[in-house]
Amino acid sequence: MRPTILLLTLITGMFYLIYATLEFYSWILSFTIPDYGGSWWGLFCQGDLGWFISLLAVGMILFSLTFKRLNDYKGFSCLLVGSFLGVVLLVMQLLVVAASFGDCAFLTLIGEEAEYNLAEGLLTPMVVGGILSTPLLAYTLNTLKKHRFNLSRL
Amino acid sequence: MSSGTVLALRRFKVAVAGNPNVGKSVIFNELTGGRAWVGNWPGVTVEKKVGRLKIGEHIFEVVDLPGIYSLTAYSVDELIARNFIVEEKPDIVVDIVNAANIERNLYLTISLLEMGVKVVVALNMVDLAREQGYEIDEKKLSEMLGVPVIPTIATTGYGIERLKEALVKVSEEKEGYRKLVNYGGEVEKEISKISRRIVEGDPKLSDKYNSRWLAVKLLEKDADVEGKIRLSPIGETLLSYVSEAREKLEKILGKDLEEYMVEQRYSYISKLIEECVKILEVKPVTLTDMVDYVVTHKIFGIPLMFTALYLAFKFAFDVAAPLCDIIDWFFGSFLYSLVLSFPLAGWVSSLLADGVVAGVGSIIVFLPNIVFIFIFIALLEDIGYMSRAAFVIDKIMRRLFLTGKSLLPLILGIGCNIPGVIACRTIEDENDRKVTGLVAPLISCSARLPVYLVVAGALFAGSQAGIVWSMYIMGFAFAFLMAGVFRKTLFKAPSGSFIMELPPYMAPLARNVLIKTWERTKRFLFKAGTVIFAVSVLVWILSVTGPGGYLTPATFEDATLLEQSWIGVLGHSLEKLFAPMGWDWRISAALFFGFLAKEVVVSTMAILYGVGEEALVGPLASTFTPLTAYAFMAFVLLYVPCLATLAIVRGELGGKYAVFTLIYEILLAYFVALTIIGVGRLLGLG
Repeated sequence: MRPTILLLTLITGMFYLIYATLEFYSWILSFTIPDYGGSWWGLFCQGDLGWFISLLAVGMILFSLTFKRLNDYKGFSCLLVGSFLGVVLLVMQLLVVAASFGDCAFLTLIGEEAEYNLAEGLLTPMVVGGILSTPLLAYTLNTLKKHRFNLSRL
Repeated sequence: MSSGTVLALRRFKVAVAGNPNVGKSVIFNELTGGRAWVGNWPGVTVEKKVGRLKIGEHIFEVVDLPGIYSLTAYSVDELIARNFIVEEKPDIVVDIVNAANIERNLYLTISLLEMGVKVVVALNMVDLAREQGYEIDEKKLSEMLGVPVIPTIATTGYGIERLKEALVKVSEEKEGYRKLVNYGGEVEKEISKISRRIVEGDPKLSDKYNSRWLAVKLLEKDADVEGKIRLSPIGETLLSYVSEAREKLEKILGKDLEEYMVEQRYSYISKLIEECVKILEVKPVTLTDMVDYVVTHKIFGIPLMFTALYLAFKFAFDVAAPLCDIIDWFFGSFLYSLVLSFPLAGWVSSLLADGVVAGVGSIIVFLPNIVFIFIFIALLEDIGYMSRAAFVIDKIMRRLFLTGKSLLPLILGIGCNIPGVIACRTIEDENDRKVTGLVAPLISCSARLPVYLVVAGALFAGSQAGIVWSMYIMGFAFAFLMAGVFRKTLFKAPSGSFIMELPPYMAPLARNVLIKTWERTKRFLFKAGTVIFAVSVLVWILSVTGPGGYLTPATFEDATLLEQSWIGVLGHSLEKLFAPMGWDWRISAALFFGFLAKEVVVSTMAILYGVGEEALVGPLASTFTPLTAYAFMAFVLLYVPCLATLAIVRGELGGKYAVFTLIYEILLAYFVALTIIGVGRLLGLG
């Protein structure tokens, strides 16, 4: 595994872990502050327990690479599953943004008042984390293809 | 063929058998073109899928048997499959064998051959077997088994045409030639003797069942076969002879006879594998191995499982939202106004608009949510993740006196509690099966979803998905808790062992996912068109009439008048019961009708508040506080399962367990709702 990939993996893993913590913190805050929507370093945390677990899962898997041997299939498995899940979260958030936007457009069309803040949907840890994960996933898939999906040849 | 020739159609019955997760459903869909109808297996309320395949003058009625590992009588599924083969006598059994796990799968094949049926083996997933480093010589295997063996890759359709040709060919053969397991000198002698006694003593019995199979099963002490023999005139004599023979053989062999016979079958399978399987290279690390390292990891596994479930809900609630709004507008504004614009008598207009459109519309609006969640679950199933989730949670479930096998019925319950309860039949251990069946209705099904969405939308705007998600978590938590309680009190015997095959990961097939989604969704649509429609009309009638007679549809505009209706009387009498929770008479009446189907809670509230689903937000926001709303959602989650689920519990576990479920769930729901309110008030939450 190339050092740049390892470095990017650890940075991405750390990013997910930090924002998982902030998501959890925002969830706690949402009990005391109604309609709480916090922004940390430009990214919105919705205070959602589900997102907290999802971000934590990706963060843990990617960050665990620190404790693995790099050319071992186990380390590579973490990179594959972690980056794949990161991209899945990105896709899901983009679907949610598209749906919310569509919903808003439809409600406006039938004469109801509706508004949607696109920035709040796009500037999230899921989107940024997903963008960071994409080159990692591309790298793992290319490596797998090169080894014809047989990791004992790594 | 000349144009004047009339084809004489020939009909054959074909059963599709195989272990779970071998691609049985995909092959069934490939054979039948995905068009299947559903019936029940005789004697049990378990669904039977039947489809049709026409090749020239051959018409095959194809029956999808439950996924099974063997043909013993230990689990309900195995009994169903076995009874179908011995009682209904299919002309051919298509046995789907997973080439990537051939040893375990061939056990079912040789069990089928022992029953004396014509078998065609579909050797599926040959591509995966190759990926895993071995190749199967299907010609040699076919020779050794004495039946056609067709290599297939169900997901790409490879081999399906050859499989169809084999069906036609085998259907023309009079008797299938096959080779059977040889159990060794002494045992074979006894099998022949018992077999001869059956043929000579009760020719009717030997005409109906294969006499060698009966003899083998009698020596294995199969309770179901012993029951059949007992009804024969030679029953008692034969059973006492078998008992002596078994004792004699066990003395000679020095071990339990059943154990010996299973060993012989496996040693026969080993011989088959030795001859037919060529190892190409040392077993490589496959993509499945890599993904499994993380997915079934003791630390990563659980958060990954919760992530998968959360994404399913996110997909179902947030992504489906615009479609829900379109349907809501269609029913709540367009259709409602259209009905009112027709020149109809006042009561007819009100019945259609306030009863049918408001009632049924308030449920149909959730169709996108339900379709989306079913799509996601079907995707997870097809990829092969669901069995991993069961594996991951097995350790935790064992601490709660259940097995990992109990998770599949519980997860299926997310869609609908009915298949959840039915799926318990795959659990061999009787106590595990009963405990799982009793707690499966506590899992939050799609019918509860509309209630959560309406209430959470009114009281928890912004954190709707999280609140609804917490209901699902609560459902699982109480299912585990009650399972522990039942295990400690009612079913104290130790839990059975957990054997589960983890299938290789596969790319999902769009067609398969859509068929599964449709099969599950149509239940919801059927309920909307029947039960919910009928209840909506009933609620309307009870709302416009009362002890004083006909009150007119003005009741929907006038709250005081509505209170004088039958539904007002009913609601007020139940209101006292729910007074500690602070729920009003409308909510109490809605809960009463929710017993018929949980979705009805929403449609009843919509009718009683005289508004559509979206407009319910206003009245509910003034009726509930966040605390009482949360307690209400918990109550809806836990109180009586719907009528249809209770009927299934009765069918699967028996009448007394259905009554028990009814009582314990009401008491549990009441206690939990009261506790939420009590604790919440203590904490100053409302």
